Amino acid sequence: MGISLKRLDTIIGTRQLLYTLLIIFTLIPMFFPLRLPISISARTKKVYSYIDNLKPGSYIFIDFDYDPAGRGEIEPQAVATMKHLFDKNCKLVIASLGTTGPVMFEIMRKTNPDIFAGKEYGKDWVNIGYVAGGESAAAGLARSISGTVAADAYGNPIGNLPLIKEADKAEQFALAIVYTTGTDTLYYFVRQWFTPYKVPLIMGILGVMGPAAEPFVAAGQAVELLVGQVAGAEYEVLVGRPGIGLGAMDAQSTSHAIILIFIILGNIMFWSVRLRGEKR
Amino acid sequence: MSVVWRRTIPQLLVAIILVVMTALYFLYIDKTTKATLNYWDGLLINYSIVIAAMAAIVGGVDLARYHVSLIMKREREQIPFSLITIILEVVCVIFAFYALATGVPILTQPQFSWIYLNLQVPTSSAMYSILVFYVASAAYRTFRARNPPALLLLIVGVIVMLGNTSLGFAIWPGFTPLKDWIMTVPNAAGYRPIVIGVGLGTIILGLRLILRKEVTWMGRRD
Amino acid sequence: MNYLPVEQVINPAAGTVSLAILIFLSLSGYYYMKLAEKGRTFPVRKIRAFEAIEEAVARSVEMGRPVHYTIGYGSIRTAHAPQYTAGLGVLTHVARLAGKYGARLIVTHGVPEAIASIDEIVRDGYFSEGRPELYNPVDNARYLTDVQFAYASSAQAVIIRENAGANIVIGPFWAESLILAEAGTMVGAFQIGGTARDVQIPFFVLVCDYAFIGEEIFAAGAMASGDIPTLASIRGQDVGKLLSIILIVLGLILLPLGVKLATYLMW
Repeated sequence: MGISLKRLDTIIGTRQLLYTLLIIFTLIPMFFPLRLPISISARTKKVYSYIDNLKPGSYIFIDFDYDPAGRGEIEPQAVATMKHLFDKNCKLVIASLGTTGPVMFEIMRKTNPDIFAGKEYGKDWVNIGYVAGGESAAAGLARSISGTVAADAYGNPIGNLPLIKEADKAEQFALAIVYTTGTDTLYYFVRQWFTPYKVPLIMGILGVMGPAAEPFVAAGQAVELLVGQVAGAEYEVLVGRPGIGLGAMDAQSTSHAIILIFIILGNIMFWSVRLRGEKR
Repeated sequence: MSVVWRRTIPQLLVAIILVVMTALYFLYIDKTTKATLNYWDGLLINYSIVIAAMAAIVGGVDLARYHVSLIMKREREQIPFSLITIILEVVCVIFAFYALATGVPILTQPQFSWIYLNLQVPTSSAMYSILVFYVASAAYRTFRARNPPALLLLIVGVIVMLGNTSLGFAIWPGFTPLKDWIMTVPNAAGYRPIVIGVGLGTIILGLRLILRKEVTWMGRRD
Repeated sequence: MNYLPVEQVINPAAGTVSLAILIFLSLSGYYYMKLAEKGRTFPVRKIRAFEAIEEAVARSVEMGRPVHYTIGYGSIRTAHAPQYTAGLGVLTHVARLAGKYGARLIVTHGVPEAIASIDEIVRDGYFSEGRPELYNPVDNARYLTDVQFAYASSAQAVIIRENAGANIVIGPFWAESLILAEAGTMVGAFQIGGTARDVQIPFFVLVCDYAFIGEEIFAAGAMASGDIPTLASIRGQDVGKLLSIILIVLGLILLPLGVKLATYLMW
C-alpha cells in the first residue's frame, strides 16, 4: 500500500499534469467568468483617496517603465489610475526610464483609447518617451525636464509643449507615480524625487516586488503601493471601469485554487506515506 | 611590468575610484570643485558606456562563435536553434547599421521595432508566464508540513495566496486584511535584516577592494 | 588654526551618522585583517552553502555530468556590481574544484563586461590544478545575452540539454531565478543558489539544496580567496550586525519613552 501511495504521489507530482490543469483552469474563467466578488484592500483604497483628494488640475509625473512581461500585472493599474487622474483633470507628464516603457505606453494607449478621449496632447498630457541614463536621468528630470530632453517621444521640441512650460521641475508636481517592473527604479525615485524635493510617490509594481517595496511606505518615502494585478482589479472597481485586471481575477482565483488543491494533496500523500512507514 | 600593468594598475584604479566616490557622497564640496568633479564623473560614465558597448560586441562574437561551433559539430537537435540565433543576430546587426546609415534611432527604426514587438515582446512574455507553472510545481514540492517551521510556512503561504484572490474573499473576507498584515509586519520585519546585511556585506567588500584584498574578479593569478 | 564647522565639511543630505558607521565598520574590518596578518586566528562562521560546493562538484563528476554555473545577466555598471563581483569570487573556487576533480564546468552569463574575467577565472581554475587539457574556452564560458528572458531561456536550455549534475547560481537575479532553479530541479541537479536581491532569496531557499542568504554571497567571495586576512574581514561584517542589533534593541527601548532613535540616526 505504501508503494502505491508513493506512486500516486509521483503521478500527482508530475509536472505535465499540474501544468495542464493550470492552463485549463486559467482559461475556463476567461470564457465563462465566475464573477466572484472582490474586496478592496486598504492599500488600494488609500491610493484612491489620495488621488481623489488631489487638487483638480494638479501636475502629475508618471514614470511608465514596465517591461512586456509585466504588462498583465501593471497595465490594469496604469489604466485605472490614469483614468482617475484624467477624471480629476490632472495634467500628466509621462516619461520612461526603461527602453520598453514607450512601447508599452503606446500599446496601452491604443488598447484603451477612451481614457485619453477629450484630452489634448501637449496641454493635458505629454509623453517624453525614453530617457537614457537610469538614476542620473531621474535626477535630471527632477531638476528640469526641458533641460534633460530636447524633444518628446513624437519628435516635438520640448519647448513647444505648453504643459512642460507649466510643469518642468519636480517641485511643480503634486505627485509622481512609478509603474515599473524594476525595483531599482523605485530607489531612483526615492533618492532623486522624494529625498531632495519631497514629491509624494505612488508605486505601481509587480506582486513579487511587494515585500521589497514595503519599507518605502513604512519609512514614509512612498504614499502607498499598488501591488500586482489584484491592485489593478481593485482600482478598476473603484473607478467603475472594469478592464482586463478584473477579468483576470477569476482566472487568478481558479489557478490559485488548483495550486492549493495540489499542495493539500501533496501533504496528504506525504503524511500517508510517512505514517505507514512508521507503523511498519 | 606585466604584473603592474595587468594587476596593480586595475586594482589601484578601482580603489581610487571607490575612495573618491565615497568622499564625494559624504563630504560637502564647494560649487567650483563640484563642477570639475562632475565633469570627471561624466567622463568616467562615458568611458564605462563605451567599454560596455565594446564588451557587447565581444559578447556578440562569443555567441556567434559558440553557435557556429555547435553547427560544425553537426548535432542534429541543436542545429535549428543555433541557426535561428545566428540569423537573428546578423539581421539585428544589419538593421543597426542601416539605422546608423539613415540616422534613425535604432529603437524607432521600423524593421527593428517590428522584430522587437513581434518577436521579443511575445517571447519575453511567454518566458515570464512560464514562471506561473514553475511557481506551482515548486509550491507543490516544497509546501509540505515536514516539521513545525515548514508547517508555519505552509499556513502563511496559504493565507497569502487566498488573500490575493477573490476566491479567498468569497471563503472568508478576513483573508485580505490578514494577508495585508502578514506582508506589512512579519514579512517586512524579515526582509529588513537581509537588506541591512547586504549593506554591511557591500561595505566590507568595498573595503577589501580598496585594500586590494579582493582580487578574484581579475581572473588569472600571476 | 581655524577648523571648519561640521556642516561645511559633511554633506547634510548624506548624514554624519551614516559616515560614522561607515568609518567604524571599515576600521573594524581593517583591524581584524591586520590582526590576522599578525597571525591571530578567528573562528569564522561557517556557511553551509559554501561548504556544499565541493560536494556538488564531486557528485557531478561521479555522475559524469557537467557543473553549470551562472552569475546572471545585466551590466556591471549598475549598483549590482558587488553581487557580480561576489559571483566571480565564488566562481574562482568552483573553477579550481572543477580542475581538482576533473569536472566539465559550463559558465553561462549575460554580463558582457565580465566575459574576459570569466574566461580567465575558468582557465586559471583548470591550469592551477594541473588540468589544462580540460579547458575549452568555447564550451566552458558562454556569453548568452544581456536580455533578461532570452538569457533565462538560454541558461535553462543549457542546464537541461547538457544535463547538469550541479547547478550553482550566484549573483543578482530577478524573475529568472526560479526559471534557473526549476530547470536544475527538472534534471535532478544538486543546486546551490545565492543572491543579495532580497525579493529572489525565498525562491532559492525553497528550491535549492543550499542557499546563500543575502550578504553571505559577499562572505563567500572572501572564503573563496582562501587568504586568512581576507577571511578575517568578515568579522567586520559581523561587528556591523552586532551594531545593528544594538541599535534596533535601543530603538525599541526608547520608543515607549517617546524618543525616536531613527530621527537621530538621520543626522
